[in-house]
Amino acid sequence: MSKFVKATIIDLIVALFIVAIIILGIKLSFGQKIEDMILLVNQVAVKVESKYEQKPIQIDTSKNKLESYPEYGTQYATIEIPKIDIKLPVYYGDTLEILKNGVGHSSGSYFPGEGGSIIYMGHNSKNVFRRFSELQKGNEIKVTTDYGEYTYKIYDMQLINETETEKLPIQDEKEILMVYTCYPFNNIGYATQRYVVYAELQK
Amino acid sequence: MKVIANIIKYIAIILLTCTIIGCVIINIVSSTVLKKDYILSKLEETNYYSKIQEEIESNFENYIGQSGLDENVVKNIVTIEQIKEDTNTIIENIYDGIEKTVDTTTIETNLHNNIKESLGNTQLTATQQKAIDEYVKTIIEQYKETMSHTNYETQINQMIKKVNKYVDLANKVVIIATAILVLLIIVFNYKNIIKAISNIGISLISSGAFYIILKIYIDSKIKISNIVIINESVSNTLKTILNEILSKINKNGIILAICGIILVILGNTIISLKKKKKESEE
Repeated sequence: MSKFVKATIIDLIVALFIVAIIILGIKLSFGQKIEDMILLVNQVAVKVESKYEQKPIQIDTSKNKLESYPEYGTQYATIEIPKIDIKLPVYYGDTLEILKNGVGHSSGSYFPGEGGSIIYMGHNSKNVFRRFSELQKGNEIKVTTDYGEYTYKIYDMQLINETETEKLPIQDEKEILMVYTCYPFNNIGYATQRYVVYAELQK
Repeated sequence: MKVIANIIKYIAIILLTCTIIGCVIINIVSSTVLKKDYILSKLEETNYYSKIQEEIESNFENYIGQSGLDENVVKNIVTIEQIKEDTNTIIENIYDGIEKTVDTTTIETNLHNNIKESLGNTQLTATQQKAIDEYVKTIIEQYKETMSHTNYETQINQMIKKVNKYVDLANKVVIIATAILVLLIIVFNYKNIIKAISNIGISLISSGAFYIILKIYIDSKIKISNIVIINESVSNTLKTILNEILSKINKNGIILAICGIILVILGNTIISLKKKKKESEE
């Protein structure tokens, strides 16, 4: 091997050795911090392609608890109020984006069949709950899910302010369905009041 | 003595590698994320303004259901020109610290006019008028929120100013240090100045290889194409900027490595030719 080739190879090895030293130095000095930063970026900003498959939603009747929950933003039930000719899809979640498509299920509340407070909400538009004023005590609300049908009977109606969340209590002693919409029903602009219908489970 | 001189020489090569790495990174940062015009050009390139307009209109539509108003009232109340102007205001606030506020008067007027037109001759009660004003206020807030995404423009500006100050200082330090280290390597090779060319070449190869490895490392650890921050428009622009920075890192790495290899080959060729000449003379 000529001296030229030998010297060039040695120089290249030295160069790579220097890179290794620098990388090692960085790893020893900031390795943990860099790893933490990458982890943080991945957790906060990188959307992982979901391999999650929605299992069929089933209820464990012995524990009154769903075995798997619907994915946020997906439809899992329909709500029917025969008195006002309403049959609408119910989505898990309560963002304005969801309410554009139908009725929303407050994510902090229980699901039908779980024996607690269920909170549904919808706009007061013509296609949704505009006719809520026609509802009376004793009227039925039917919720049909993939895992069963639940019928509720209205026992109370109340007008509340948007900030009065204590009027929509979350409890697990009795299955109560609370459905609310904005009030006045034919309002124009921003509504600060809510009309709530309370119904208890019949079957 | 020769051993100590060699050790110092190699330490100088390592330090030169570090300063070259520093030089390049400072150059990349100051010509991209720290430059207002660069950010504005990327916003234009990624169609940020029209995408954000779609997003704003979609957000407005979310408020229609509860308002009892016709959905056309929120259509065409914001123009792309207005969005461009407001985005520039926000960017200027961040980069130049001028603390201008986003002017929403036109949107407010447009929305009020649309509502008036939609309601026709309906006589509004005081409560209804108040509810409409509240609704307009909500829509305007929604617009401001979608536009700026942050209430910390002043803090970000202060941070950028500080970073710019440090970057300027670091740039000067790194350039001076590079010059000193090159001189030092030449001094340590005073008996064979050509060898200094190979030594500088080694530094260039090392810094080039460092950047190529860095790009591979970032690519393997963070999937930039999957980044989602705030909304689609912001994410797209951010992805473009990050990809461009990574591509600059890679390009600089390759250029440095090629230059380094050329210098090493050149240095060793000259040395080898000199030796041959000397041998033949003897």
